[in-house]
Amino acid sequence: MNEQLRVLVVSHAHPTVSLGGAEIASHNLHRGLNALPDVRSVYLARVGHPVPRHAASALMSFRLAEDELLFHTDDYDHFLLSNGDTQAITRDLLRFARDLRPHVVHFHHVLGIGLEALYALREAFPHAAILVTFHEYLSICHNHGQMVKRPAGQLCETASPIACHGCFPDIPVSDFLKRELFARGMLGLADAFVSPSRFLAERYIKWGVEEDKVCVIENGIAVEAAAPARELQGPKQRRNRFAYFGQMTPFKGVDVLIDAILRVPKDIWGDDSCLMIFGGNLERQPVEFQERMKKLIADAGQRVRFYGAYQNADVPRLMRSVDWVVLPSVWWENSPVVIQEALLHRRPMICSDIGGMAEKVRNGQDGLHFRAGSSQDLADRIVEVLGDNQTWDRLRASMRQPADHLGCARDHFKLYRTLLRQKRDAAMAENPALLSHPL
Amino acid sequence: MLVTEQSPAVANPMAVKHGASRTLRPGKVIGCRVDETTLLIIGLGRVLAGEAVAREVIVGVEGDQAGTRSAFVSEWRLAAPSPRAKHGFAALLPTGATDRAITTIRFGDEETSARYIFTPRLVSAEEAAAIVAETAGPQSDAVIDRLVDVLMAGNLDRRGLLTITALLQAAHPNDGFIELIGESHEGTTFLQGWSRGIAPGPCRVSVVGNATPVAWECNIAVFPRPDAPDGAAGFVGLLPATKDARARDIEGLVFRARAGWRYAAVHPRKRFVGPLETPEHVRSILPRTHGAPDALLSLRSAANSFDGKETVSSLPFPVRMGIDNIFEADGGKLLASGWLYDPDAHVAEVRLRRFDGSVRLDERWTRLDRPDVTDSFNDQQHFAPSIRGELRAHGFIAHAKLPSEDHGSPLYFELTLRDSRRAFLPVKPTRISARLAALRQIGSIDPTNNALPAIVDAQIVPFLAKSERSTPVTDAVLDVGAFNQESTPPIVIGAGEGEENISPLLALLALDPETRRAPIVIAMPADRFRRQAARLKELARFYGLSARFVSAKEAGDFYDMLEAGTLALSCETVVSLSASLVPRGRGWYGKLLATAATLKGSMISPVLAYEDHSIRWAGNWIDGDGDDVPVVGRYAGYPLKAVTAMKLTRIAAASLECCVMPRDALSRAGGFAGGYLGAQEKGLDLGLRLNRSGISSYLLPSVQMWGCDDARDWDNPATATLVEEIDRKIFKIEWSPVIAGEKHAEKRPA
Repeated sequence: MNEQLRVLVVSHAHPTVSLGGAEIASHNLHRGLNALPDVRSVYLARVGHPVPRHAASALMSFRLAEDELLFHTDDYDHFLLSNGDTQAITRDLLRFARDLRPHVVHFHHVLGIGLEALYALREAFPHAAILVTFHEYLSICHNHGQMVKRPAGQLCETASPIACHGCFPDIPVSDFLKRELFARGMLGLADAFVSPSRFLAERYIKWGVEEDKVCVIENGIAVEAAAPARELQGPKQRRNRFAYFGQMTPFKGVDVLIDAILRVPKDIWGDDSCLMIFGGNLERQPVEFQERMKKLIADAGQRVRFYGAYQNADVPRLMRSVDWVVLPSVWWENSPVVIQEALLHRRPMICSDIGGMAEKVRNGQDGLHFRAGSSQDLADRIVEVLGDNQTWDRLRASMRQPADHLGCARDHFKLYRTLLRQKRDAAMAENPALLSHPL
Repeated sequence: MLVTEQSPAVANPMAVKHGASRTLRPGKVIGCRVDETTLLIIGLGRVLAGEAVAREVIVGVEGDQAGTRSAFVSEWRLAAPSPRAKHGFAALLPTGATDRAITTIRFGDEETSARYIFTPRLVSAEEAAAIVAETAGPQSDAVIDRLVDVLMAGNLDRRGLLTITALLQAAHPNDGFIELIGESHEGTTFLQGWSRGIAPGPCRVSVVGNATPVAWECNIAVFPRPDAPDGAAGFVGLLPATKDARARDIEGLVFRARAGWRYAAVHPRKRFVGPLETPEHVRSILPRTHGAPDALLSLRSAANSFDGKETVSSLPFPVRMGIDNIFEADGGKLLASGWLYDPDAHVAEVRLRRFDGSVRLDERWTRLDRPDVTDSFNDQQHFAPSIRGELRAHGFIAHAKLPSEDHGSPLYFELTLRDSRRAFLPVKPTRISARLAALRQIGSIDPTNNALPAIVDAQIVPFLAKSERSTPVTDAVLDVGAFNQESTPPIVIGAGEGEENISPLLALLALDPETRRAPIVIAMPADRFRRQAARLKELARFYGLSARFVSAKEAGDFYDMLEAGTLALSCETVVSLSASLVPRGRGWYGKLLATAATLKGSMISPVLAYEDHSIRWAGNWIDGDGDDVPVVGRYAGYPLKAVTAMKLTRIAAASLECCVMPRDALSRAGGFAGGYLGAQEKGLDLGLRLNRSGISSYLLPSVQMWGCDDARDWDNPATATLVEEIDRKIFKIEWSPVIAGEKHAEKRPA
């Protein structure tokens, strides 16, 4: 194939609007692809209320770069992952796609855009390679895709209509059955699935996605100069600056972290240790959670400093004052960007021993594990590292390199080529006349 | 010959009389036809021997009806005797229908008896009466009376009765009139008028006005009528309820008064009083009447009849009644619930009435506790039960059946107290299907109420049994894409009351290449259709499906929708699919059709599985030994693997929730039964009937569908349990005898 590879990357939100890991990852992929020769990528992100839609079509922009575009949707059924505005998909999305004539359509999320978009693009481009990257378990789990039970928050191992009804007693079993079959059926139209972690991949395979179609490719970040280690000052030189980076959702375990901090005995904590919380989106959480967090932070007094939201571009600067990065999530996590960032800046991590965190943070090499949800166990870990400086040095030396986004883009590119070749071979086997037909 | 108020006889008796004397000659007789079988003969002469003035005589007749027969003869001395004749006579001759063939008549059986020749022209009854009046003078009343006596004793038809009324009116003109006719809800008719001859007491009357005269004992009471001609009294009486005599058809009464037979015609300016006013009218006149105690009692009862007003709440006893629900389904089937507070047992009977239909409730109702009623009345001093009063279950539920012709008559409760007074409570029934009535009723009973099993067995199940059901009516059809029902058998999807969102099902059908190409019919209730048709149309377009959306006029479940969907097609075979099912994998459609191709005209169903991989349905079998449940779903609840390797199997009933079948199978078997509340037995019932109507039923275990039971069908789980129980009972009542009969037949030696 000599012509330029045309890729359409579809994201559920644009990073300038929304600060999640999936947005960043999909946008990094797009930029990484465009940095490769012979690849042209276009980025399409969904946008919705309160942004007003144009009258002329669902397509719009935010004065973005030329190769980025927004698609407005408002008729989205969260439960079924379904977009009710099939007219807009036909009229606007397909119109744009037909002009683009992509070889590859790569969905990161169907959230907001709907599984119908997948169906429509599959119908319109039978020879294109369609991929879906999973960033969490939304297709499997209606509880924000976290696979954590309601209301108590226990970790969930397997979804089933009856089990899901247990978490949502108002939603009948039959609706969960339909959700499962609809999601799996529509996703089955894709040619390949990408997961940033093996853990998540295994979950999807267990759920019923074809194993042959699943690959694991780590989310890459834009690699820059690593922030230097924090300068140690004063008589008692300890690596005692802990930081949390991320969103302030109930699944992130910030309350576990603060509780752990408070359990550390005074004489061990001393008076210059500190936990810094860089957390955004607290104002979007349920009110009672917001109240609880504010109270916890206030009660923690001097030990905890809350800095509010941050931009990704700020991270290198913020890392300068950090020794340890803590990931106390009470859900499985897939591939948090902060892990890559911590690896880049060589800040050892302390994280829950489950899911993607446990996979990506090798215990004793990239960081230390603690029992998920247990503030006592986390407190013990903090006490251990406060008592022994060498742990930090040792881990810093054994931490691995992060994946960079250009490498990630190259991995994707290889995958695209393989898929296209397979499809072409299969099509020719059915109908040799296609040999002359341009893709 | 009909007598009317305007007949010349009544208007001008004198004119007739003069003519009469000219026509009667010795040796000749004049005939007057009374009715088809009787001829009145008048002549001059002496035909009776001895002192008798009236008796049966053998007569000989010549002419076409020659022969002897017996005739009644009444004889009199002429008022003005002449040398040729001193006596006159009248005879009633039984004859055939033709009246011209008799030529002569001879009285007595000796050859020497006098013979008379018939005057060719027959006379009218008025003329005959005039002749008798003229010739018999003062005796004419007695003569006519005797004749009428004999006629009234025989088999009379309307014509005969009219002849009698003419005779009587001619003999006693202006003897009296009926001036007011009052209808009642109970069907009895109240009459009021004046008459010279009438007397209080029981009185045999014949009502003139309908095809077949009917005679009754009528209890007459009288009251003073100063405005009536001298000697006349006002009278009132009650005619019993009957379909044969409608109040509006009454033309007059023939009755036996003190002085003999009389006729009272309905006055041309009569008043007609409707059922709601009659009781009050009777009440107003009753104080002035006097008569036999029986008559007054029945009149008092009529005075206290239902006049449209509620009278229970004004009873001077602690008796009160309230109605919570009263439902009426097709065929006059009623289901009522309410409470009757009667701690001192004043009420002897409770009836539900409409027009002349009446059904006694207190012998067939089921009672239940109503603590709210008890509490409410305990607070009211004058309602607290007396010392002897018992604690009772005040509530009641009853089912009944009344004739349902629509007179516009009101429906009402009638309480008869021990002192025989009556009180009434009119009600307005809600007209809905038996099914909805039963559902609303059981929905309003506390599930923990210990009277519930009795209510179900004694009231709900009988109410529902043998309910009628009307075929669903489609009121709109919308096609999307080129809908071609002949290409491959259409998939008919029924989206009943519980299934709100069928878009995932449409997507799954689109994802399967076999079903993507199949024509798809989706039937749903009309209000859903209105709300969703546009959206579904767009979805069908988006997925590239060829679909027909059918709107069914009334709400219903999957089965009703399935029936409506098949009615909107004309092809030979269809594949039914409930919207609550989801296909398990692809290729199910092709497999079902391939199997159906080898078994023409049969029904084939796949296995239905729960989402937890256990079996929901895998065929129905007639249970060989079980008496309790005649038909079983043998593999229900087993792991799916237990049946998936089975081969195609013959079964007693396929599942209409998913099967390939002849399109007209449903209507051929008579459609779904109307009495079931839920879906399970309803489908099973029809499945059994289809199998028995010659459509073999099969299970194809290599194909499976997912499906769930949804509690959302009912408001609460208690209702769901109750519905299942009721349906099982109805099913058992319906099918146990049939199945037992077949088992019996099989066991009999050849």
